[in-house]
Amino acid sequence: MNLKNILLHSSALAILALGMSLVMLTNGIDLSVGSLVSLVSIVTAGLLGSKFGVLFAIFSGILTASFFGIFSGIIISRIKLPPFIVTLGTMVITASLALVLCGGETLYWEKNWFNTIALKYFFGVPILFCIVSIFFILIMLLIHYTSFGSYIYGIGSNEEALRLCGVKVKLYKTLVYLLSGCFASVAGIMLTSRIASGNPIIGMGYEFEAIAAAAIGGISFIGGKGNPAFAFLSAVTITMLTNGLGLMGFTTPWQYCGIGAILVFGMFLNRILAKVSLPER
Amino acid sequence: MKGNFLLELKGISKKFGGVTALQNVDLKLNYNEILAVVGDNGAGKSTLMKIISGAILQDSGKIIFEGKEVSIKKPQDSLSLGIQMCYQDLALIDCLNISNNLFLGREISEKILGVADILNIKKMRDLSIQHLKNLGIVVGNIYEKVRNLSGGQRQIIAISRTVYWSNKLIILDEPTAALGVKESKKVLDLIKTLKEKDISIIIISHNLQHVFSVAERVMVLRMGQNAGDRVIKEIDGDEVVKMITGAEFSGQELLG
Ligand SMILES: Nc1ncnc2c1ncn2[C@@H]1O[C@H](COP(=O)(O)OP(=O)(O)OP(=O)(O)O)[C@@H](O)[C@H]1O
Ligand SMILES: [Mg+2]
Repeated sequence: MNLKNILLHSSALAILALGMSLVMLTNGIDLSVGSLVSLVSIVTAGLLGSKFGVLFAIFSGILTASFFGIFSGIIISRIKLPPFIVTLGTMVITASLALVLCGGETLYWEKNWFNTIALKYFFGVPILFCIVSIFFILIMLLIHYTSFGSYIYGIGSNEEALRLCGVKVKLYKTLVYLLSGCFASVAGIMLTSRIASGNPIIGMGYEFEAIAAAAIGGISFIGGKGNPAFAFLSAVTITMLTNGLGLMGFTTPWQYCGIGAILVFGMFLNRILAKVSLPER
Repeated sequence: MKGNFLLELKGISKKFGGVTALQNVDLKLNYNEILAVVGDNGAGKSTLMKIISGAILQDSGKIIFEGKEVSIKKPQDSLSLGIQMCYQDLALIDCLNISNNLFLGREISEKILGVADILNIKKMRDLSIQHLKNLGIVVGNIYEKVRNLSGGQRQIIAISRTVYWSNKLIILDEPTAALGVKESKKVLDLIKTLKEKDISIIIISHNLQHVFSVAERVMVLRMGQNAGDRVIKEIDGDEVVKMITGAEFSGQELLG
């Protein structure tokens, strides 16, 4: 297991963790990201087999997940239902949709440049991780240097105060879920390229890993506190752990067991580190 | 000057479930006037002000601003009319710093590469420092999170924000509640300076001494209804107390 491999394998989780931390900063949660990854995998793979070209397939994948992101976002911000329930619904809808669309089978397509995205390296760094790094930088800019960034923290900390200052809270809340869906589509496309097929359950469990990464990274469950950078780092750490366990011969269930343990332990570590005071924003 | 009054409320009523917070309340505010709104706890003062600011929507009644009937459905509406309110619970965002809070919803940003609006943090900091200095307010660090400030400091920051964006009307809901003697005086002086800038002010306070020192007129609410509206010069504290309580007690009894 070398660094190249770890970076390659952590790409999908890292980007999901970024999206999840934005959502969690607004005092929300997005349970649908895992099944959105699966759905995007099916949609993209299905269209890769058609005549519309690779870019169209990628674009459709992104559009599909964004649609469901907006869907959750609008219901959460306008109808004011709890994010947990709404995204649970979206999760089940999209998971089923993925299975229905592919008839429960893995989809393949004639090999083209889409397959090579996950194989290419840029100065020794996987292209996938380069893409993720670009997203990371953009999110850091968003958080620290845009008003949207302040509003994300504001929504999590005191949504009503933000509304009273004339900020369009509903719009920004919806945007956060849109971003989360969008990031899920990027993760889905990366994974699809890596396994060179469309798999209806490829995203299973990713919502849990993303939430774990965000939580271990110090993103508060009640919003307004934490820095997505740490969520990003803990996504890489979690991948290292699961891969390490895999190399030692532990099967996937055991790996989940490991993540669960590190989640609790990580939270405990957070408590201790909080006393040393980490930068929050 | 448009219309006889800057602001006129006619027959405002508001119910929260079974609770009648306001019933058929009228209010008149002249141009360039300091009006105090007083009343016991739960009399409906904050609710009435929140209706003006668009924080909540009235069940019935009209709002007339500068002679024109206006519909204020959300905070943006009142802000664009030139109404600024400092809420009783301050409406600050604890996890953001002082500068961020002062510019909340009105951040200064610049287009970079023609697309991204990037915050001009330095400019907002400089303006914040300048503004607080003008008001004679000392804060250690403009990047301090509001969470770490004392109750009084938070209140001062909330008031400064309201004043910074002041336009035509400022509403201050118990602005001196958490303040010491010196800071209270500062705020009262500030209110007088604002009047000189042609701004009208509505102040809510339980402190009649404060009311008498700044306000020109006092309006009394009792159990969600109008209970008097008098020019300050023609009235004394005793009478105000009688109006507030419905003449159950005299001021002398209450004040000892
Ligand atoms: N959001 C709300 N939901 C339910 N009831 C409310 C709400 N806001 C106010 N009320 C009720 O309306 C009445 C008037 O409240 P309001 O806050 O306007 O009083 P107030 O005059 O500002 O009192 P205080 O001096 O204590 O600030 C009270 O009976 C209160 O319980
Ligand atoms: Mg009140």
